[in-house]
Amino acid sequence: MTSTDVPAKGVTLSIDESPAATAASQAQDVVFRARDLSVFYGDFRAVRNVDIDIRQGEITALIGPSGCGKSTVLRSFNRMNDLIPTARLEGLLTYRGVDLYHPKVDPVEVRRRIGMVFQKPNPFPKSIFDNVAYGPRIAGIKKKGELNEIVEASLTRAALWEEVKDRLSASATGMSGGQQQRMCIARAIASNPDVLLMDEPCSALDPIATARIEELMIELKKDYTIVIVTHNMQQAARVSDRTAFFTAEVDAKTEQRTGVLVEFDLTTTVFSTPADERTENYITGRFG
Amino acid sequence: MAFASIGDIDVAARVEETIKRRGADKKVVASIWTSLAGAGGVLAIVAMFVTWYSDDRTATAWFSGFLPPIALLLVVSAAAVLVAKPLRIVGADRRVDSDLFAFVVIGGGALLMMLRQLSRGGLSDMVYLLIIPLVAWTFSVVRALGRPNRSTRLELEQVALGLAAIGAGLIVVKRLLDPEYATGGWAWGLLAGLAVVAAALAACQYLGILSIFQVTLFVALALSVIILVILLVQVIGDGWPVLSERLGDFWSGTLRSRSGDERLGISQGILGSFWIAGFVVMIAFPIGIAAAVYLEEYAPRNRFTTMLDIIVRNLAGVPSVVYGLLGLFLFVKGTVVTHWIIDRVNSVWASIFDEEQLIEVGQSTLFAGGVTLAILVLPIVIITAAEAVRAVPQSLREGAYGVGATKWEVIRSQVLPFAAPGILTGTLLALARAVGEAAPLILVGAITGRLAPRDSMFSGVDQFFGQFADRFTAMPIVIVGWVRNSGVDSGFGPAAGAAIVMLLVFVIMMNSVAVLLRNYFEKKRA
Repeated sequence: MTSTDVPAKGVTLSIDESPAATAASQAQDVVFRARDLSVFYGDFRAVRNVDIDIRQGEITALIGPSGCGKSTVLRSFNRMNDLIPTARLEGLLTYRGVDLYHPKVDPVEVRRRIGMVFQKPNPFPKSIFDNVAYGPRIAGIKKKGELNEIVEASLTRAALWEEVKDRLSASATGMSGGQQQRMCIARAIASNPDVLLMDEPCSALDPIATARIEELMIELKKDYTIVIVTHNMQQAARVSDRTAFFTAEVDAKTEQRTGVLVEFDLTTTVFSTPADERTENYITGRFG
Repeated sequence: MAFASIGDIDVAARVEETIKRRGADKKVVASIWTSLAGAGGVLAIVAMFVTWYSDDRTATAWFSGFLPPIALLLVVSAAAVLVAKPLRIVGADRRVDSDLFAFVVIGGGALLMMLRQLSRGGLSDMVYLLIIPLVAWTFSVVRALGRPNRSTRLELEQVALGLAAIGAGLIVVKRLLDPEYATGGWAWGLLAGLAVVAAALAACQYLGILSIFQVTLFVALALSVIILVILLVQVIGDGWPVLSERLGDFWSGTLRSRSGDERLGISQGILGSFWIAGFVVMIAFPIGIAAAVYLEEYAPRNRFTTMLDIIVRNLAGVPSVVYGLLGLFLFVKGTVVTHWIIDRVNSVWASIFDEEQLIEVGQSTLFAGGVTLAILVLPIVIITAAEAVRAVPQSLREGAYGVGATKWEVIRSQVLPFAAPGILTGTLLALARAVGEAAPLILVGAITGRLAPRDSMFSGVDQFFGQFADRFTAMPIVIVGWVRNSGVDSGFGPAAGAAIVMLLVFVIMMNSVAVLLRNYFEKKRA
């Protein structure tokens, strides 16, 4: 599974190794390692005590009922939660051995390496070319030739090149939903990331478009580590190598729902012989 | 023949075809006729007000020069469409849209009239210049009103048409019989009433309004339009003697103490308003937009920023006179700080241009007026720009952050372009408001009487900047001054009317630019 084309970029972020991070860094193939991770929005604890290892070159699916904090966990991987002023994180989260939330880590740099695809396709109101070239441009690539190459490579990689190569200067908002989502994947790829985070990427798409995205994910697995949040258990079973099942615990007093990681294992194991009763209830459709 | 072979004909298809054709015909006829009826109604309203409000002289100028040609055009174009349709030159199944055809006929007719007027010795009274935009405007408005699924019923249409045709026809006939056109009397009132009813029916028809409730709502909407029409007619009527006889001189003339003076005009007012607009653009726009971006994108949500928000909103509602007082104290009378600044500026000025001083302490300057109005509209700019920024979808921001954009990159490449149409609309409305304000300018000392102009603002850097330290006036001030004087010298009344028309044209031009720019940016973000 381990990719050969992905260079060892991202192995170190440009900070001094903190002691905690050094201690946490272990096997080379662990991309993200969360230990006792809790995320708060103000006083509200959205998820608590998550321990998880995301491995290189795999697709990891985060599943669970609504409000169980799986998107919150995903968004903490590339510090998207920073955009919410009240969001706060406890515990340890490392990316290739580096503490992601170390004060010296630049979230912008993190997001350049850890691309994200969102629930609803969110093309910029610009041309297809400008959309895909957005990341490289802000990264400082100005040469037209170089941008052309990147755009073509990214769109090809996202299985969209053949459909749009003749209308690169057309507005991206004019494409179909499935095409838009693949373009968003191309846009994420264009920044040459190490990891792709996908937050329910197919929930706004029809089954055919969904199937294409799923094919694409399996194809992309060769080069990228992928973490996907999905509501669709069949999708998790079809595409992922490992599955993490989250559920929400309701506090008896405050009635707040806090997400917990119930089970994390190989997908085949989770779906055939789940260790936890709650997981079994969920995947057999008895709950959630 | 057709009857003989009826057994072979697919009756259903035939019926369908007929229905389709009828539908198409009806639509075209309806839109043309109702357009003309609407135009006739507008015409009649204009005629009515002119009759009621103008003196003999004005009325003659209007009726002999302006209305009959338009009425004639309407009738001719309607006839042209009627003839062209059976000949299958135009219609639903033809390339040429009937409305376009009628429009071309009207436009061509208007053009011919202008040419005729030109060959007769110039466009000195400018009347005919107004024909084309007016007709085009009427047409486009009526057509736009008719866009959403209109349900047409021919009977009402015909009633409307009949009434409007009577109205237009009467105008023409009366013109033929009575070239002098004395003031109206009951005939005109009746005519106008008929045409107004026709126009109202036509409008209701177009909008598919059939119930009383809908008619009531529509009347409520129409009231505002009617008020605008009354205002326009009144003002144009007032200013007509000036507009029709000496527009060119009026444009380039200056403030005078007597209305009989041939050099009476508004050039200083226009120039002052232009520079005030310039100050607003240079000061209020950048500061306002920057403040809005800060408030929406950077400011933390806490009590302090909430309070800021409330303060800004309240500032937008503060009476403009209060800003005038502020301007008076800050920029005219001056504080210790402003005096110190004035001294510095004057000493720099003296060292560069070898002139004594640029700004006199206690002097009302164009600078003071411009900056005061910039401050006046600043809250409006902030509020509208903040609304526009707030309306940018979060998903766009996330998308940009997701590929590693910094906050400023997100704002520059996503937020501002997306918010641009909204920001533009708000800021240009603010600009229009600034240009129309009189009260604060009176307080900061704009001049209503004579004003010695600079020789030329472009004759040198010192002249250019020097004008900002001069006494000044502006269009609203000119109007206020003339209206005030009209009690003593009645000739100032028409002058004031003409100045108001000019100010309206100025504002409408600015708003048009705003609309064009907004459309451009909207297209860009689609």
